[in-house]
Amino acid sequence: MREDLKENIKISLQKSLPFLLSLLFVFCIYVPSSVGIANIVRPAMGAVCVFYWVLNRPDLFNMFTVFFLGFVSDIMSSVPLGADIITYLTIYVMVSNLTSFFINKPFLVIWYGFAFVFVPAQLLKWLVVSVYYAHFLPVSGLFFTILFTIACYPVVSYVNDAARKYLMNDEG
Amino acid sequence: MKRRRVLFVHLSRIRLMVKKFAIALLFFVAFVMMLFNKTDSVLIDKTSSLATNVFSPVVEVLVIPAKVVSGALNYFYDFKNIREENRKLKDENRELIIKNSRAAALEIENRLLANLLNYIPPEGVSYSTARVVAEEGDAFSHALIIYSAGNDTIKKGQVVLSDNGVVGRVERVGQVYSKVILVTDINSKIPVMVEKSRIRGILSGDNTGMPKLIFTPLEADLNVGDKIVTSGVAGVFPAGLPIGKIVAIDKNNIKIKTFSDLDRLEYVRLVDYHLADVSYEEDIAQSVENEE
Repeated sequence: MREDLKENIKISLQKSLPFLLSLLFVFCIYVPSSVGIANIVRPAMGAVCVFYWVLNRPDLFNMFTVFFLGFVSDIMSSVPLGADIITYLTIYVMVSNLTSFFINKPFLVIWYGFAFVFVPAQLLKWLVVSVYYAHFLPVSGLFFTILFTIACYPVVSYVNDAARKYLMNDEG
Repeated sequence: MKRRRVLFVHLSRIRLMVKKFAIALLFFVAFVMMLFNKTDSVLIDKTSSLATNVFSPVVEVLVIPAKVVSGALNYFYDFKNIREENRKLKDENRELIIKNSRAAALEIENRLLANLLNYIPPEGVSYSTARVVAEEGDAFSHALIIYSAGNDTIKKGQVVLSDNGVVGRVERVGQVYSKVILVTDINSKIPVMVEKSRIRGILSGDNTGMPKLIFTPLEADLNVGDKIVTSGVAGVFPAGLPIGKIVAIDKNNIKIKTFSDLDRLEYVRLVDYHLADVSYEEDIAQSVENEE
């Protein structure tokens, strides 16, 4: 009985690993930094995680997980509630429709693919938030956020890849 | 066999439709949330405060390794500059001793003049210090999360200062953690004036590193280097608090550089001026309307 319980807990934790890891990356953005540029540009880690997990393990990262991750991200930040949810859901919809294209493609193509998906999603967020404030937000900040996030993709995807391999080994 | 395949095709179509409907519904919920947020709903405020209290400890844990690394780097950097800094501090100390005696004389003079005018001074100011737990700065928002447990005096709209001047105001108050909107955030609008010429305006954040000075008179004589302080209009921020200085003036923009290094804030000071407990937004909106 106790063994069963342990096994169940282990399976639940494994299933929620992608979400927990994504949450951790989202929190990393808020770590205070004394680097000057960190006050103006921070990468959208959540978006990278959504792209990675929806592409590689859509069974563990469904639309409700994406919604909840966006909700947490919105609540932690000072952006209008719903802005990150819309961004992440946009990435989810785009990646879900492009999965067959990305299968067995080299890393570089997937990296370009991330840029292809992330740029419109981030532009949509910029537009939605600008409409919300009835004021266009600075494009320079957006531009550098996009560049910085795309540059961060290999690192974040490497960590996520390690987690995915661990899951695959354990699932046999 | 054929009937089974047809049934399977039907089921997968239904599943696809349900999935599409669910996505559309989630998008719709997100837009409804934004609308709720726009109405400044108490429910959104409470949910947000609760979530900040729940998730901020995780950020606090994540900060530890980052702090160790930056602490080690700072140690070696400080060690290198220690002699130069010591010389500067000695000079500064000498200047401060002179200024202190002058200030004491001015205070006595001020008290005498206030007595002559029957001036009633405002209530005493109370300070509290809070540690910065998390910071946020990108194209969409500029804010801080501070540890405010046990501080019952903290209220929405209170002024937040660093050693060098105003850094923002309290936006959301939680039991353990509170949120501070920085002067660079797009939601930040502070009535200010130029210290020397007393020309008034509004300091408006735009999510860049340098906020803008808006609603200044067209013929105003503004110069690069002019010091900007709070004007006290609207009664939320007291007058005379230093904020920054003008660094660039062009046709449409007057850019201000804050005196405080907003990306190096470890501790901030919350100041309760015991001013009338009024809605910050309403007051600033009124002030902006007046300026217009």
